[in-house]
Parts: sequence; structure tokens; C-alpha cells
Amino acid sequence: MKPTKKNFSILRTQESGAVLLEFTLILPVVLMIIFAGIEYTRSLRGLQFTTTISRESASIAFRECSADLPAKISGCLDLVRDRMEDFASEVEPGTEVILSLYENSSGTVSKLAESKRVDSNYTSRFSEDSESFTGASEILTSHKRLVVAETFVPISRLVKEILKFDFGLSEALYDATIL
Amino acid sequence: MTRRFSRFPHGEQGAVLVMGAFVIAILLAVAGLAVDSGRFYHARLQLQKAADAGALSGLGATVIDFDTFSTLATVAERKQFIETKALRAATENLRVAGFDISDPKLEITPTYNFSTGTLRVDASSSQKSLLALAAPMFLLNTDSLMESTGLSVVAEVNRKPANISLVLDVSSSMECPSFGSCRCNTALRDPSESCAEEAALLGVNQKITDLSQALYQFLDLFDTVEDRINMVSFALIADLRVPLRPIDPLTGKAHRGFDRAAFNNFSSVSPGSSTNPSDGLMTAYQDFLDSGVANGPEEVSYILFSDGAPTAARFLISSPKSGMEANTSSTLGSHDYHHYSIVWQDSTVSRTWVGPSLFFKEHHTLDPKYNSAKAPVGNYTPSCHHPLVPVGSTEAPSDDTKFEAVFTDCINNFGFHMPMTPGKIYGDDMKSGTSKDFSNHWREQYFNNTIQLSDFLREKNAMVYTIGLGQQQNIAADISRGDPYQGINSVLHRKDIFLSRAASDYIEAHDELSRPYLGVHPEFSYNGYKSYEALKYSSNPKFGRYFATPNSQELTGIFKSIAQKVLLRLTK
Repeated sequence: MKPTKKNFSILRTQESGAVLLEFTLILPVVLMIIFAGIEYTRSLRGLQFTTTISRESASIAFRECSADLPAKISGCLDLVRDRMEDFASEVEPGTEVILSLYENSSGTVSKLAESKRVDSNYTSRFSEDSESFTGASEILTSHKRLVVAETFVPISRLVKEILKFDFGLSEALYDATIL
Repeated sequence: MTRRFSRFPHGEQGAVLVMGAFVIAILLAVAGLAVDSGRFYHARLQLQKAADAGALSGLGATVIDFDTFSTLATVAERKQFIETKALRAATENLRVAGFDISDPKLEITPTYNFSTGTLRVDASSSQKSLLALAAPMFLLNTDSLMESTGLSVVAEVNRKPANISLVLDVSSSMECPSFGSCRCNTALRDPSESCAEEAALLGVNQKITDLSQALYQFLDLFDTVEDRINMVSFALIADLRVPLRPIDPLTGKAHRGFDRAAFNNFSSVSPGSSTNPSDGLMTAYQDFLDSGVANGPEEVSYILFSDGAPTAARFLISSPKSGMEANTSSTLGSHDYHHYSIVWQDSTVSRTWVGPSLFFKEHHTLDPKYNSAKAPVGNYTPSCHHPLVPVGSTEAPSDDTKFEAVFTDCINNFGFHMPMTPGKIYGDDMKSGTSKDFSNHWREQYFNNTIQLSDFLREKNAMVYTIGLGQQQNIAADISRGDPYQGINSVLHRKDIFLSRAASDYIEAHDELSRPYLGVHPEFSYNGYKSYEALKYSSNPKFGRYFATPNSQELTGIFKSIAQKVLLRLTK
């Protein structure tokens, strides 16, 4: 017999390494699925956290700041943002909250104040321009004052890819609440 | 054949692959379920958020856009106003969250119940979850059944009744015109020209008139059936002008509601003498305490209006009289003097000299232990009664008897530590018919006591809002950290420091860098007052607001803003 054939026959008859080989083929796939699941859950948890922070920020800013005189609004939003960011950063470091308050004075909409960190990495996705708010619901002209709370939570590259796939997000975990 | 068959039992290559395929399939299925339910619960969170936002926004619009809302005459119009705002806010939030708002299966139904004042927002979508579909098989409760047929959430918001205390300054400067310097209130005044005439000449109201108008519009925002409001005016001492309603035996608390007409006589008040916000706030709290509302779960909002930092009029001593009440009325007109009689209670056995001790009414119901722990260690007299006593004589006082009194650090009769600039003797050359200015002594006590009291109230679930009317004091800011009394005149004269600290206005404190003359240092803290920074990180910071204006015409806007803030805080 040629040595090669003999070698093959060894492969066929001696199965001690086969399990290991097959296992190494499958393991990455299994691990990928498991870790993808974990990452997905983590990202989902992050997303829910983002939503919670944005709705709480909006709710506090709405109650505490939206009826203030214009001179006080900026300071009030700063205070709410500070508190919320401090609270959120304990759970998700790097969380940023941007609060803005719009006023509609007889049809003219203006941004009275926007509160974000000086070294902020993000920009608000809303503006006086009605394009950023929906035209259909006419919210910008319907409400006298509008509080917009946006929350950004930085995410890892892997999570970013997963979320891009599932939620169409890219930059950071993001949620906005409008009151 | 046998050889071929025999290969099956022996040939196990591929076994792991087969098992792996099963494992992967199961893992994929589980992961799929996790993704599916994850998406479902996230959608539910978003839907709940939108419903909450709609409910809050709808009811909040009645406060923020009160001008429009109050013009709507019929129930149907008001209902529609609220429901439209709620619908739009909820829809906008769903759109931002990535929902397709044109989807007919996405339903948002706001319902405002006019009699209970409750706004309910129902929201549902067709989003389904496989896990949720399977849930009813295991858990036969209605929640999971509802989930299995799609998403459905409810948000309900109404407004809690308000408890408000109006503590209003009626000191002499309130007679002045709305803004600018005021002649009628000073020595330069033309005796023939009253403050009313001076104001008319300028074509403006008197401050007190502007204040009463602001007050009436403020009351319009509240519900005469549900909300409790009392009113205290203060000058030398406080006067409970509109008390809360009597106690309801069923609840042990004051009846809800207020009598709008009872506030109408406010404009007829005649302003006079000093500014004692301390007694004003104390009297307001006392009324809420007696009515069983203070210290409870319900928040009380105190609105302290003052047109200046604490001041005290000069005193004029009249002839000592035996066995008479101290005359606390201001008989020399409203401006410069407080007329005071020395009371001589017994000429034969022992003598009790009752001088101008602290001008606070007795408030024994307060817990006297409060704050005592905060008092620094030292020698303090147990009460802050500093009587005027005759100098060097034990005989019955005559018109020529001179009087003196010594202010020392003390714990006053409701337990607050009253730091006094030590060693100052006042009145040592006072005799009948002479007057003496003790302003700084009183000022210091009023100042300190008001701030201690406001901190006390915040601990008892209250919010304090303050309004300062009048020109900013043009004093260079030399606030030394820690002890506001180091530069006693500059600090005690500055109502901005006084009122923003009393309100615990963090924003005002925070602006110090940009507006050094108006703000207060964030670490401003003294003798157990908490610093702003410490308050910021407490779980319930109770930051009030300090509003300042040189023009009383702006009071209407300020009072309205406070009313809206009070109402929004109660919308839950």
C-alpha cells in the first residue's frame, strides 16, 4: 500500500480526532449565535435605558421648565440635563442628554433654549424647521411650548452593526421624547 | 452488503455535525424568539412612552396654553382642545420612534373625562410577538391575551389639587409707583403729594395695585373647589388675611377650595413699616400646620413676595406705661418709625421689662427640637427674648430713664438658631421720646430665620418660590464664602441673595459666573444651611425659583409662571 492510502485509511478508521474536528467547525457558529444573542439583549437593554432616560428627562423638563419665564429656561434645562446625565452615566458611561424647548408664538416657532454639554459629541436631530418634526401631525404649530429630550448612549462597534440591522441605528443608541 | 451496513454503527464521523445542526437550529430558534420578543417589548415601551407623553402633553397644554384654553366656552370645545393636543403629541413620539403613523392599525384614542379631570390615552398597534402568542397557552390572564392580539397600552393623567400659600409684602415701599425711584416714600416727599398722586402723574399704578391685579389673575388659574389657598401679608408682623377653610372632620384636614372673593380686599391694604418675611412665612406655615395639610404627602407651595431684603423700621420709645400691652402699631405714619411702649408689669414686687423682643408671634406648635442639632456649640441664651431694660435703675421708669438691650446668639422659641453679631448693645441712650435705628439687628434675624424656615419647609415637602421687586442693590459683590455676615451690610441689604437662597434657586446660584452681581455663590452655605450643590444631588431637590423685576407691571407674568409651574408639578 502507498503511504498516502494508508494515511487515508487511518482517517477513516480511527475516529478519535473527528469529533474534535467537527466540534471546531461548529463551535464558532454556536458561539456566534450565543454571543449575538447576548449582544442583542445588551443592546436592547441599552435601547430601553435610552428610552427611559429620554422620557424621564422630557417629563421632568416639561414639568419644571416649560412654564418658566424665558430668562430661566436655559438654566432650568441645564439643571435637568445635569441631573439626568449624572444619573445615567452611572449605568451607561458617556450618556448624553440634549434638551431643547421650542415656543410657538402666534405661528412663529423659535427655539428658546437648547441644553447640551459644551464638549458634546452629538447634535440635536430637531430644529425650528418643521421638516424635523412631522408635517402631518402639525405638532410644532399646535403646541405653545414643546420640550424635546434626546438621549445618546455610546455603543460598541459590534452592537452598532447589529442595531443597524435590526433598528436602523448607526451613531449611538438614540431616543427622543417630545412633550 | 454486510460490509456496507456495518459501516453505520462504526462510522461515527458526522455525528457531531448532525448534533451541531440540531443545536444550531434550536439556538437559532431561541435567538429568534429572543429577538422577536425583544422587538415586541421595545415596541410596547415606545407605545407606552407615546401614550404617557400624549396624556401629559394634553393636560399640560391647558396650563401652558391657558390663554387659549380659558377662552373656550363649552365643555365640548375644551375636551376637543385637550384630546387634539394629546393625540398630536403621542403621534409625534411614535413617528420619532420609527412607527409607521399612517398604519390604520396604529390607534391612539385620547379621552378626557370632564367631571374627574382625567385624561386617558389608549394606544394600540398590530405588532405581534410569537412568544406573546404562545403566552396564553401557559398563562391565561388577560394581559397576555391582549398581547397575543397585538399591543395595547393605557396612560392616565390627572391633576392633583394644589396647596398654595401667598406670603405678600405690604411694607411701605409698596405704595410707590410701578417702577423707578419713589419720592413719596422718602424724606424728600412733598407733603401735599401722596404716592397715589405720584403714580398717577407717571401714568402707572402703585406697586400694591399691580400686585393685587397679578394676584387676581393668578387665582384664575386655580380651581375654587379643589385647591387650597391662603394669604398672609406681612410688614412689621404678619397678618393671616385669608386663612384656609375649616377642618373637615372626615379627613382631619382643611376643606378643599377657596373663597375667591376673600382675596378681593387685598388692594385696600395700607402698606406700612418694616419688612419681616420671617413672620410672614411662619404664619403661612402655621395655618397649613393647623389645617393638617403641612408635613403630609401633599406638596405645599409657598410664594413669598417681597419688595426688598428684610428691613426694620426705627423705634420710638413712648412713655413707659404700667401694665399695658406693647403698642405694636405704627402711629407715626407708615414710613420711618415703629412706635413702641415699654411695658412695666409690676412696680412693687418684681419687674418684667418687655421690650421689642423678636417680632414674631408665638409659634409653639413647631417642633422645638428642630434645628437644635444644627446650632453650633457655644453659649446661647435659651430664647431670643432681648428685652429693653432700664440702665442702672430698679425704680419704676420715668420719661428720663434710659434703656438698653443686648442681642446675643440664641435659640429662638421655635428652635432656630439665631446668630447675632456678638457684643452689640443697642438702645443705651434711649429714653422716652427718642428713636433709634436697630435695622441691622432685626435684618440679621429676619434674614437668617427666613432662610432656616424655608429649608425647614422644603424638608416638609414644600416648594418655596420668591419674587423680588425693586431695583437691584448697587453694591459690589463681596460675598465671602461661608459666612454671609462678614460683610453684614452688603449681604443683608441684598434681596437677590436673600430671596434666591430662600427659594433655593439653583439656577440663580449657577449663573454667578456670568452675572456676578445678581447671583449667589453655589456653595453659599451658613450655619447648617445646605449648600446648593448638596441640594442638587438630593433625591428630591425642591428647587424653587427666584424672580426679580424692577417693574411691578411684570408681576402678572411672574405670578402666572409660578401658577403654571405649580400646576404642572401636580400633573401626574
